[in-house]
Amino acid sequence: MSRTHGLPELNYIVFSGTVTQKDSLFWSKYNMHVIRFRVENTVSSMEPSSDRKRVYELAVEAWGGLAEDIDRTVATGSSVLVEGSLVSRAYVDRKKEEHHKMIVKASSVKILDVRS
Amino acid sequence: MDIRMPSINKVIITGNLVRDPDTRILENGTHMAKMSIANNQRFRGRDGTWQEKTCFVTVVAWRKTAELISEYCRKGSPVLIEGELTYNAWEDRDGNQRSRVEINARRVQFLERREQDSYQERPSSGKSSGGDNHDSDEPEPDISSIPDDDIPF
Repeated sequence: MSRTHGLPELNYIVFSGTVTQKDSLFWSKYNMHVIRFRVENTVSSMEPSSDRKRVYELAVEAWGGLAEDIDRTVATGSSVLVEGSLVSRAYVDRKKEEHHKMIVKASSVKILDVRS
Repeated sequence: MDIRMPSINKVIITGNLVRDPDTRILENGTHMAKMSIANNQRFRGRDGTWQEKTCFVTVVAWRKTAELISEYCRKGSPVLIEGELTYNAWEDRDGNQRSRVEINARRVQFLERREQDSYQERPSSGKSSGGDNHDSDEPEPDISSIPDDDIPF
């Protein structure tokens, strides 16, 4: 194993939440299936008596076999655990200003719903 | 017994500061630092050549961590961030809905190697900043990230 002295390339995210939106599977220009969905993550207060909550919605993208699995098994309303990396995408708006949008590129998605 | 779904939200990312951090003190005296980091990922392209993709991430830190960032981080500084992903939505001057995903830093490690580190490795921290309280917004600084000069003994 070689030893590197540069900055380690770490980019890891794991979060859980509820799928609020799932788009249709489509083919990318690389001839791979892609699926996009949104996950709402709710952070509750540490104190059980508190009602304080913060809600975040994150855009997630999956490719290849994982995208196909998600298309088959994940539905809107499913509770999921997503692992992946942060990816920023640049786009130009109508005023021709450049913006960056951040998404999560999933490497693993587990369904957390309790099976009866 | 009803089981509540666990809430997990963790990010670990390295990168270099794109510009000097933007630091300020809020009206209530709280220190805040905002910085943009560039995370480079190398991968082998379809033609077999190495390619690089850059992910630009906005990171926000509070209190002591913000003070340390202000003191030790500059454009180009390499850092490791541990925190949680947050999502901010607001309305701009033109009334358009805008949103941004950013990292709320709980722990920051400054990865720049100083001269004395070349003959003496810094001790590995392995110590938690204890910043897992999602409501405090008050991450403690990583002990290993404080330069030795600042330790008063």
